[in-house]
Amino acid sequence: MNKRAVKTVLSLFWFLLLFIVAFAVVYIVSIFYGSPYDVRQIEAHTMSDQIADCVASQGYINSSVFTQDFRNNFLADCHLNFNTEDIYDWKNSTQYYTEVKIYMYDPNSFNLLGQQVFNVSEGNINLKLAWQLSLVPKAPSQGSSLASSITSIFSPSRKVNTIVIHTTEGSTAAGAIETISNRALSVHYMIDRNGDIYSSENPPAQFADAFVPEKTVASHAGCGEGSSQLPYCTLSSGCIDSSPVSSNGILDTKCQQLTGSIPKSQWCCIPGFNTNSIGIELVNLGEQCTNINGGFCANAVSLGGYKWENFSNSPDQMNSLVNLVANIALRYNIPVDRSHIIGHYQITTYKTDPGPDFPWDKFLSAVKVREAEMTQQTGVIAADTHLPQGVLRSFYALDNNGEKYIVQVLTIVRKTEKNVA
Amino acid sequence: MMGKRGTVMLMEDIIVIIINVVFVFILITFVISRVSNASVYEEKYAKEIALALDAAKPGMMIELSMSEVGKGLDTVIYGKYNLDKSVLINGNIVTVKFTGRGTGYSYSFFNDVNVTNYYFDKADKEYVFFIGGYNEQKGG
Repeated sequence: MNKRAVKTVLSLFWFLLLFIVAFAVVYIVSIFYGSPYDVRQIEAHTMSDQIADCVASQGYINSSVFTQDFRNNFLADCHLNFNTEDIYDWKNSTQYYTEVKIYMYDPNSFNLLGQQVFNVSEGNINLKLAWQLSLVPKAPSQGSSLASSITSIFSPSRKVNTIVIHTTEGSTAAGAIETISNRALSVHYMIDRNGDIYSSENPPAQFADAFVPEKTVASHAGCGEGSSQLPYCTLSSGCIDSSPVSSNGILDTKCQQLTGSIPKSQWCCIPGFNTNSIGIELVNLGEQCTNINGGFCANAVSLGGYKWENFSNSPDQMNSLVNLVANIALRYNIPVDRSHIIGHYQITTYKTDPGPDFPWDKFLSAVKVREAEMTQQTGVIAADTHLPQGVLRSFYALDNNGEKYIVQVLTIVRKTEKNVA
Repeated sequence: MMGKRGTVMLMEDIIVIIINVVFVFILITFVISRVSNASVYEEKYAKEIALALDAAKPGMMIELSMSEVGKGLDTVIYGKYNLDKSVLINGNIVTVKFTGRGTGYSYSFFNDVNVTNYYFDKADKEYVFFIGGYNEQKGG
């Protein structure tokens, strides 16, 4: 190569280098200065402070709080104005949501929350749902970015194609979580009666090992030692032929016998469901209501000598379940039907959860609607940029009689600009 | 004395240097234009003022230094535009506008306070906001 050719190559190399540096500078500057100055988290904190001051001062709940007048004029009494400027279609829906709940202090409850004695909310309830969804981790296999590709090489994702719904067969989340932990089982999500979602991202203080992330196989729908797949056991209809199961999970006489003293070797169970499924536990007494009267079992559903807790006891829980299942189905492209969103009873005949009271048709319809809404919102889940920022805080306060309460204040701000990073 | 070949090589070097200089100049201009873009400051100040008013209580006086605007913004824009008309509060919406172009940037604050008065202190380049009290009407 002569000297001139070398010089030409060097010049090209120099220009290439210059272009790379220029591209990097333009990219970094555009990203940094192109992103909105996001103050929504600070706003949510400040609003939370203001509401906390409004509800209680110096450790005492203000006497007017428990009145109907306070509920009716909550925004005015707490000096809140939810008007917003007319940009990014913010005027079309309220960009704030706030909620105050006051519970009796109960040292025996695992989260110290006793009976709820006060509840008020204002603003756009959809923001609460969107905020709850923002706490749900993204599917590890989703996305095509270089980072996610590299991550997937080191932690291979699994193919999720089924969602299994369980009930805890207990009255509290604490008891269920402890049982799961002690038996070395695990689950992906648990939804409390008040709609709170526990997961590996948001575990309760104790027994965090009961939850695993979505990318990990959980032990929630296994067959256990000694069980086997019998010929009459299929996913679509569970225990069929000699012992049919109706579409809503009611066991017939033979299957009811299986629930009791049948030897393990004759249990009917379809193995392998842990591998490709996500398990969701609902805090619900389920079949335990057979032996319990009153309380959550007061309006239990009776069938064939058994009783199951009524799901109408916990509408917030069902609401969260609809949102969570829609979220998962959307991310993993799981069809919303009874072959892919199933009850534990469809895998194991000696299980009856979620029980005959579970409203499958209504539930799946609601999931489809919610999924369509999410898709319409340009992928609320796929692009976190549309999710709001929220703050949930709790504090103790006394009333004038010295009674101890726990006050929960939730504040959420959306005000999402088009390209919030 | 330089030959014809030497002259051609020198010209090539000069062209390369000129292209490089122009390239770097464009790059620097781009960066400066982004960094000193008035809309960046309008957004930042509108949101900062809204946050300050969110946390305000009746009887407070809030002083906000605007000196950073003068440093950051292009001196031509800064010189042409009058900072004492830059901030406008209408109800619970703050609008900040640093140039004659566009509508500025608006951001709302949720605290239903009445900002009774505000003015620009030219000596200290400060905006001063007085919080009078809470508005009587119910929030929306």
